[in-house]
Amino acid sequence: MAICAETLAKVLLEPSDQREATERLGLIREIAKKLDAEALQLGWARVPEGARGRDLTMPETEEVSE
Amino acid sequence: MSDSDEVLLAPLEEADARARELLRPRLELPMRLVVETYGFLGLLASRILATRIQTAARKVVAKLTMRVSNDLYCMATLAARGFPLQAATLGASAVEGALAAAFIRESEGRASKWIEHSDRRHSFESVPTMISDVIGDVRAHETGSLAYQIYRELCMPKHTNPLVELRVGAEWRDDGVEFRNGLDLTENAIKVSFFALQ
Repeated sequence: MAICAETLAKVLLEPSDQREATERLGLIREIAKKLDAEALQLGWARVPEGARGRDLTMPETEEVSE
Repeated sequence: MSDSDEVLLAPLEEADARARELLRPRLELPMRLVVETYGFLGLLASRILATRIQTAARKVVAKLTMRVSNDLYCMATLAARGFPLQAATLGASAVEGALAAAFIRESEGRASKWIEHSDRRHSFESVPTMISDVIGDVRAHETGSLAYQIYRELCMPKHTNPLVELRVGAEWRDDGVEFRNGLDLTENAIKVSFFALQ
């Protein structure tokens, strides 16, 4: 769910909010990075090397199922 | 007897507590991410609401931000108890809410469109359009394309896509199939929860 934090932070942060929010976002990014590493180690990589944008956690499908 | 079987045979509250205990070490890091994100979104919402000028856009964005943070809370609750498909389903909603909030931003026009939305068959705005506007073109931009991919993966459990349904909550063997009604502590289930919370 780092995607939600990144998405909202991108547009909602104001200069006066920068410090605390940036610190919190920094922590979220740090955890997200560790999660990517853990997922890679487990073979569950969301962003496997050389195949950015492809997901291996669940089977790939060409169907748009939104 | 597997961990799942053992937990399912226990009374409901006990099963719930034991599932959480078994899953805690496996989902510790993704749970931390959700807790931090939950706090972060709370901070964002409170800052938006604290501003002196309350435009329609600010109110809509604050509302959506709180919706997303509540989705995250519920996702963590479901994932921690062994319900990965339900957690992922909420994940798709959380992404939609975050995108809608970011898409509206300070736009009074978009906020009005959101408030006046009256179509029961369609969403306020299509997800690819919102991703392209907020993150990057879903077809040409690397991050935009990745965001759309993540969203699509989360939508599979939401729509009971067989690609996911066949792998979680059921074990297919040569001699038959074993279904799991209730919590699921299998490796595939943990993988889906990990993905959804990540």
